[in-house]
Amino acid sequence: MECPIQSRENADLLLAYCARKLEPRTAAILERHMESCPDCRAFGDEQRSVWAALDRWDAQPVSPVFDRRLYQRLEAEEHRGWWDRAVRPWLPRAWRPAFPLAAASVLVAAVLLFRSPAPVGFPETNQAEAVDMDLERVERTLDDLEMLRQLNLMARVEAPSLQPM
Amino acid sequence: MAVWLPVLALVVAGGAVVCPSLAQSRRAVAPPRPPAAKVFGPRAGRVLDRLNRMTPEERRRTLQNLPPDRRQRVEEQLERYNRLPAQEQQRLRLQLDRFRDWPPEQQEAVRRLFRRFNAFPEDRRALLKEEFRALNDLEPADRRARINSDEFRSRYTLAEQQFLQDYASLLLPQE
Repeated sequence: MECPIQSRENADLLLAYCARKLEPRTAAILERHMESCPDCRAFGDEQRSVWAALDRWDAQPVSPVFDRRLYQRLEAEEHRGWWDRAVRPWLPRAWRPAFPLAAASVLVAAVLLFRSPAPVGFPETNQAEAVDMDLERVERTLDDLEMLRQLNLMARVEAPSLQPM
Repeated sequence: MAVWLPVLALVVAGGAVVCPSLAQSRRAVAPPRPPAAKVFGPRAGRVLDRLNRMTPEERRRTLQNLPPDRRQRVEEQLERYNRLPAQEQQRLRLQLDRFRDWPPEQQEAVRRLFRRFNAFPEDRRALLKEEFRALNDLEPADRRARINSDEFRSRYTLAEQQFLQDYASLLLPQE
């Protein structure tokens, strides 16, 4: 028999053998080949271990209310709002229960913010700046600017045009 | 516990989204804040930027620490400065930077000159300012010639002539 792994033409024989669907005569031929072919033997061993694991696994019995709940969810899905349909796919599953709570928290924070007394006039008043400003420096700057403008001493301008005395 | 982490994250994120928009809406009902003055390179005038960034109320509170006459003077000077075209403001600030690089005693000499200028009557000050422009346009030799000319002597008083000579001594040769 030509090796199914080497030739790749009879690979379905190996799968059928592992699924125990191969007719006995062909299975006997394949088993004889596997005795002399380490690749096919290893492949067969692995497949058999998969089938054995599947044989050992017992599926959990389906809840008697499974169908009813499934249809309820399908119906609810059809009646979801556009917002829910848009947002839900982007939210991780673990976040979904938390989202309404978070939205409520944001709402509460917004209400508290609105209810806090709004400052009269300019809300960004910087008291410290108003107090700390060096007024003499302001006066000196304005005086000097006025002086330079009136005297036109630096008409030549941006290049240094004043001559140190 | 795993559920509360996303809750916290969403609250924080929600707050970040909601608060600026609320602040924006509250700002909308307040009187408009003056546009922030552009901060130019010259460092000497930045104190004016601070003053201009203030709201009228902030500025009033800041200046109320000054005696009334000085406060009025500052307000008038600031208004005059703000009325200047932006390019002229920038030019003046550059000049101020250069001026402030001078040794203090030389700066003080210019201030004394300006006090002398202010002591002249207004009509004479206007005449002197015209002379400033003329002197600025001349080369040093031509400037000296002009100051020694009969026309110059006949046009200005002795005090004005002396003032203009001192003024000319501060000007550099034309480049």
